[in-house]
Amino acid sequence: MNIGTTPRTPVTAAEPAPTPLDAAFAEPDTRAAVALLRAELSRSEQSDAMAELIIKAAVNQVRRDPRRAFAFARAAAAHGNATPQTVARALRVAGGALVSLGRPRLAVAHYDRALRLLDVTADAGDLAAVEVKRIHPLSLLGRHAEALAAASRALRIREQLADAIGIAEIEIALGDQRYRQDHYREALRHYTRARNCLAPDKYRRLRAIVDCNSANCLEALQRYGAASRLFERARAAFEKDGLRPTVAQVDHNRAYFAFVRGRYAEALTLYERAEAISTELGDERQLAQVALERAEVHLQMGMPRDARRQAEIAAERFGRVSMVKERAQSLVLQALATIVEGGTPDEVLDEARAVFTAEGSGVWVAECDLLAAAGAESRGELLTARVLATSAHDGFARAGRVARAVSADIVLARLDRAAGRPLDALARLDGATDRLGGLAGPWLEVEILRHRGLALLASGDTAGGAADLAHAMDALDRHRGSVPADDCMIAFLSSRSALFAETVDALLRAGRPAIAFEACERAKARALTDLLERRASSGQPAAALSVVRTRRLEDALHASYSRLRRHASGLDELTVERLATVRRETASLETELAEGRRRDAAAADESPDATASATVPLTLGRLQSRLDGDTTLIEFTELPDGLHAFVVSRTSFAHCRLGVDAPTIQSRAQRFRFHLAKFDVAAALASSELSLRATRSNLSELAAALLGPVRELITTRRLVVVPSPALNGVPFHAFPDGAGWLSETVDVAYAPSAAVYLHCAARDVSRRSVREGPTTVLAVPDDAAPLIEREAWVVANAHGPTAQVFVREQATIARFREAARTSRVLHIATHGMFRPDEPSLSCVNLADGWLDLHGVYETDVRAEIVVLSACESGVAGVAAAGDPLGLLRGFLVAGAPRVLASQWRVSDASAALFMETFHLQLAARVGAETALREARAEVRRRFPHPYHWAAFFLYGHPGGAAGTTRRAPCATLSTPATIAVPASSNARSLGRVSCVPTT
Amino acid sequence: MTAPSRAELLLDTDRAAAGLGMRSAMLSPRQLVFRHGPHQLEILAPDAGAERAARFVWGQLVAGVEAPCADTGVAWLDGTGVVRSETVTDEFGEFRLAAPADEGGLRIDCADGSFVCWVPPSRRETRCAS
Repeated sequence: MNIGTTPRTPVTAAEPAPTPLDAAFAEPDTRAAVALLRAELSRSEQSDAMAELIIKAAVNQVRRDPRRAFAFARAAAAHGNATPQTVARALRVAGGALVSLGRPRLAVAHYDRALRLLDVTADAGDLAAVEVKRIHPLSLLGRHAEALAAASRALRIREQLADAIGIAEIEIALGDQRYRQDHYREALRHYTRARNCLAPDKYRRLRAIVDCNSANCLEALQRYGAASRLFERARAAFEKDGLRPTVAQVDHNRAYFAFVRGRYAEALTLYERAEAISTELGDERQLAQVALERAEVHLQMGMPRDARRQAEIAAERFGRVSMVKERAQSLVLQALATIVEGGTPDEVLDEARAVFTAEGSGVWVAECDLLAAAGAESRGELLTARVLATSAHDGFARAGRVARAVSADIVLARLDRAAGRPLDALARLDGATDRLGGLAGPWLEVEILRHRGLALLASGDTAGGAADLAHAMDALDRHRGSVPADDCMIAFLSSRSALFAETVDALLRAGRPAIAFEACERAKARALTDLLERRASSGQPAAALSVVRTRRLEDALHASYSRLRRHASGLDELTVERLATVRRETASLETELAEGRRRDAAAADESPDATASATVPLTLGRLQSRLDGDTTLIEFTELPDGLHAFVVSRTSFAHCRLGVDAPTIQSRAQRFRFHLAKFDVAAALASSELSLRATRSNLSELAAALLGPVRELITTRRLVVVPSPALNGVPFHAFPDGAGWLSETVDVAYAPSAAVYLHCAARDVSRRSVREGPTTVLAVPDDAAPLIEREAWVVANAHGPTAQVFVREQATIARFREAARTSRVLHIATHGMFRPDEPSLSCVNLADGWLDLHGVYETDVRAEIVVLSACESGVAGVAAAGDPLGLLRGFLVAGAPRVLASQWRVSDASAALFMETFHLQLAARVGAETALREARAEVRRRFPHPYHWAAFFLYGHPGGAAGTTRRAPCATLSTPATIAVPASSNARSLGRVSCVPTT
Repeated sequence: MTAPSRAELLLDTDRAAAGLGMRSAMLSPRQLVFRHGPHQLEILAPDAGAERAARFVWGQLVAGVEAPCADTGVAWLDGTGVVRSETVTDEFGEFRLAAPADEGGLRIDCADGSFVCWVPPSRRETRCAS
């Protein structure tokens, strides 16, 4: 956003003499100050002179505190004894303040009133001053003809007066106007003429304005070095004068400048600052502009939902301040976000295009064309897409927007390839690279390489295509260093997941499976690996991700969760209307909280470059050297021709195309979920032999598809499964295997990626985990899950006298934090929930609140094993790049080498039985895997359906986590087999019992 | 030809608490249970927030706990009673059926006649969460 001209007061002016108004000027409260001014004006005999003094004070405030400036100027204008000339001057200053406050329409009204007064007095100098001031707000309102007419009138007068400084002001205003219409070179010419009018050693502020606004043009023309120098110079000048709001405006411009160079974290931090100052000043225009530009950043980072919300905020704010063009820009970004989200935008594009055409904004008309081209392409209307993309290309080229023109070239190259003309696509992309001449923005570099690779593949050059795609991945790795960690990184990498799949596919086609595996691994859960690397190098909890301004939202959300939990458990029934209201409020709070946290985390992540550069991609050789002889790792990936598996052991490596596609597997997984869901409502049917046969049949088909082709390669005792997104939550350990189940012969663990698995394994070796601490149990039972209490005591007793138990109100978040740091085994038994819309808010209930991902991030977990005995505690939203988002992620990042957590809603009875058996075994130092095997077998004996015995998955490094003392299970306790199975309250609705033991 | 009779809705988790004995804090995905004579139909409704193309109903039709109704025709009717998709149950009495309309029901075509299970509109917000 360009900065408007300041009043023509040289900054070197002498200090004014003391006046009776000084007390008012010194009064910090604007309302009180204005009251003092009015009182002084009404007392004074020299009221016009006093009004002049007030106007001068207002002028000095315009850039520091425009609201105060406006109030002062209005006070002067309202004084009855002031001359028309003085009132006009006061109105002019008030107009300037209104422009700064983002109220261009009101500003124009003030200027028009001033002009009417000056028509009477016919003071040419004052007339010109007002006309100059009108140019900027008229441009903002899209009234360009009136703006140009005002400029002509002002220029005529000032040329007659030989007023060089005044002419400079007009040139600046004209430059701003041309900039708004995307005529950057013309704008630069006006700014240069303005600079030439200004003596080098005077008018620092005006020169700084020229610098800043020229830098915006240079940035648009991709002359980044020159733009950077001018931004720095302008900022230093404003800072020297203590003009905080103007410094904020420069920073705002620098934010966008950082964004276009791919420095997302820097951009977001600067936007955060700009927003804080604009909020403080009540600058609606600036706030709207921040929201608009943030929307663009979020889109580029692959976060369309956040982008759409920001664009909606921007459109609403711009609408309020009557900025038609900017509102239309916001609509375009909304439409783009909707398309990226997979939706169809409404007819906002036509409305926006009409506005841009009326404004004469060729660049934005071209943006509309490019967007429409993408829409036509997705509908298969390739000819229309080509016409639109060509039109967009020409529009960008005419305006000198080389990078945007190249974006259109990329769309055209894609269309060439789709039309079976890959060589044309290659020629177009090579031409585009030449035109960029080293000025490629980082994402353009990635996209050009990617589409070159695809064109080469289409032309039959498999090796060349694979090489270019691999280079695109390298470029992306360099580029992603500037993306804030975690949420932003997940979104960024997920939005580029097509490139990963294309690269792995091309490398496989080129006969390079080992390199393909490394590319696959590079794409998997990379944001999580970054966090683990950061954690490993700092040894500290992820403090950068802590929440700084979201406590109020958390409290409100947790209160909503508690209301919903009580309703869901049947403990406190809400009316249908009330339930709908609570759900709506919950959804809204979740969105607001998650978005706020993302922004906090992004703004706090000041040095993301170091993280990314520290993350060294895993090689096959390194993985094999770190796997023990008992372990086989199977990593799945989804490619255009279906699912593939890489099978890695210490001594072997194999690749297998499985011959099944992701949707087929997802459908089978959904069917399994249907079988599980029955336990909530139709327990007798769910527990029937029929249901078990149906589930086993379904799981057999999954096993045949996913493990059948590679089963003979799994000869080790342990299998580590690295799933692809479609396989998230698929229970490999519950796959039928011969007459039994896979988990009876193979210990199955899960990891989001091979790199994450190695991180977890390294924690055991590094002796970071607590080896001699107690077992700590935190338990929050209630009437809906009463066996939690019993489970807590059985688990604690199993681990001996040093075990600690905190039940109900004792099981606080503070206790959790302390126990996580000092305990060897941490067991949490409570209610849990997965939040599919905002997986990072998935949580478990503790006595004084809900513990979610961010709460766990802030914890130092040194326990050898964390057990989350709750519903859905291991469920994660898995992004396209394979990054899991949920509680499990939190525990892995916080330091846990292994986590036992559930993948679905568990029954109180079978969960208690499972956990008690597991810990009795664990305490006997048999290791986590054996304890798990025994627990599953014990539960299966009483509850044969996998719903009961397969709910808990072991994540991370499965070895280790043995008890500290080899001892028999405590003889004084009831053995798990004696646990009474309560009838479920489902009986109330269906006359059935939820858990029906078959033995 | 007479119109198919209407099955009795025994349970709609949208309108009832999920019940005790679970360690979950939230309601499960929407499920409905119908009864018609000896037949019981249990369905898992599509997520109200799911895209139209991804809206599927999973169901199981039985005539007793261990008596699946195999090879039985099942159709999804839109709000006006027009058939929008059809399938048959498998050996376990289970089926998966596209449910493209927001409102509608299932028509079950058994050997001894047809009946319809009308699915009341969801009371949930489009965000599926709770």
